Amino acid sequence: MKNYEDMAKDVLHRIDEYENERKMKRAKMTKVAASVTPVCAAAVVGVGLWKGGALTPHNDQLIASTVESTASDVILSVDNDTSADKHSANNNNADRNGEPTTSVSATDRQTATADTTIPRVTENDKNVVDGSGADNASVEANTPVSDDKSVPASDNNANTNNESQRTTEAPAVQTEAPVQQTTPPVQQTEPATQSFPNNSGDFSNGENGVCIAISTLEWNGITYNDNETVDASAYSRDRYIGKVGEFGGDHQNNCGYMVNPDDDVYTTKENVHVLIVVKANGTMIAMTNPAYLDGVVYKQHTEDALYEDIQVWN
Amino acid sequence: MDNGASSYRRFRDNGDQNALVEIIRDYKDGLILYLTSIVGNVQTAEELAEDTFVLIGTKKPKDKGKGSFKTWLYTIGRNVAIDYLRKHSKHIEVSIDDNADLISDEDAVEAEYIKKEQKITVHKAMRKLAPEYQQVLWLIYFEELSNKETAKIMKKSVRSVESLLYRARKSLKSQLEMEGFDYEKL
Repeated sequence: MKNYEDMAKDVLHRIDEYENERKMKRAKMTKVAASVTPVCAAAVVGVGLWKGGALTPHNDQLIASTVESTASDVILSVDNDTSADKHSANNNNADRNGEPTTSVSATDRQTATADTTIPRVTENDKNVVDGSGADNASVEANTPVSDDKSVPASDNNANTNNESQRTTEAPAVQTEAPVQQTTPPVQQTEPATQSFPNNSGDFSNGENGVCIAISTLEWNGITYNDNETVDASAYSRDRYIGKVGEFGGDHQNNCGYMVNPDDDVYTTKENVHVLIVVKANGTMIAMTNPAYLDGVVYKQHTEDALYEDIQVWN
Repeated sequence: MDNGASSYRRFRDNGDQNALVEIIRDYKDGLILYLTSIVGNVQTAEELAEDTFVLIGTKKPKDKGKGSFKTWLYTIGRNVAIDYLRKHSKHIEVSIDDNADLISDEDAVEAEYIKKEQKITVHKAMRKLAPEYQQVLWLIYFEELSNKETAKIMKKSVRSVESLLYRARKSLKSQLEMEGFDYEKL
């Protein structure tokens, strides 16, 4: 049996042990908490960011969306083209060149977008007009490109009368295509050149109020097409070379031709491949030849392309 | 005797270890003998008494002051003993009679604590009684606690303690008579 002193010693010793053990446990818990808390906090923040969408590949989507939007811009401009007018213009080219028509893909595209082109032409006339490609032929000639998204100016269903013209238009397009394949942006936006109702003063002959054709000029053996993707104001006049009517090509006073016989034609100081046609009201129209490559000053596109348009095209 | 309460207060509030030593000095033997009546083994009772003091020293439970310090301490000791019995209920119980060392230890404790020859005789006769009889007799006749305090320690009602005490005395009487003592003279 222990006396009370021994028992008191034992009791106090056990109390001390218990206190030390408790302190060690506290220290351990503190250490563990200190090491685990940052990890947990980081995990919580990470999960929060993930759930919040901050870690999702937004950039890729943005890039994709911008690509799509730019593509859709082009498509829209193409859609808005009244291909019938273009074809009527190209018809003349085809007649001139006398080459066989290979515009099978073009007709396919036309049928694909035929339903949508009519309303767009009337609605987006002004918006689209800015992006008219000077090289109609090049667009159609680049069938791989146009197959993807840029539908060449498709005819309206109403313009079934122009189908015969379309087939004949293709050859002219093909001849120009190889030259302009190197300028994709121009190629894609070219179809938009078909819609230019506001610039040409003579729309009175159009039965539906929209009569669009591609104007061309023959100068020094080279064909110049009106090109609304080019900002004509960015070029300065160099030399007056005559009235439009003095040149060959398609330029009439009827059916909405952009360039009329009474307009003045100037060369430009900046680019030998660009001519400027100055209309009576002071409006300037850029005409480019197939060799026109760089030095283009594009008009800024302001219209927001609708995704539905892309869908229609695809 | 209720210096225990003030000593415990000194220990709990000021961390005075001498106060705990005083408590151990004053209450060790009585607690051991009381716990012996529960577990039937003086060495185990000593360990449990030590555990009781360690429990007081580490957990520092609050004495609500409703009863005496001794009652509160014995209640804690009893709980510790009951926990022990629950944990070791499957163990083989060793008869006190078979262990001479245990008997001698208990004799030493009771001689030191009880001091009166007659009481020692009664306490020895109590070892043969049932644990509950031992507890109630110990608390009332040796620790001189009231029925109410005894009931509180044993977690019984006062009436059941009185009944238990009646039967314990009757049993003790027959036990003393069997051993040749005259109960009436005690």
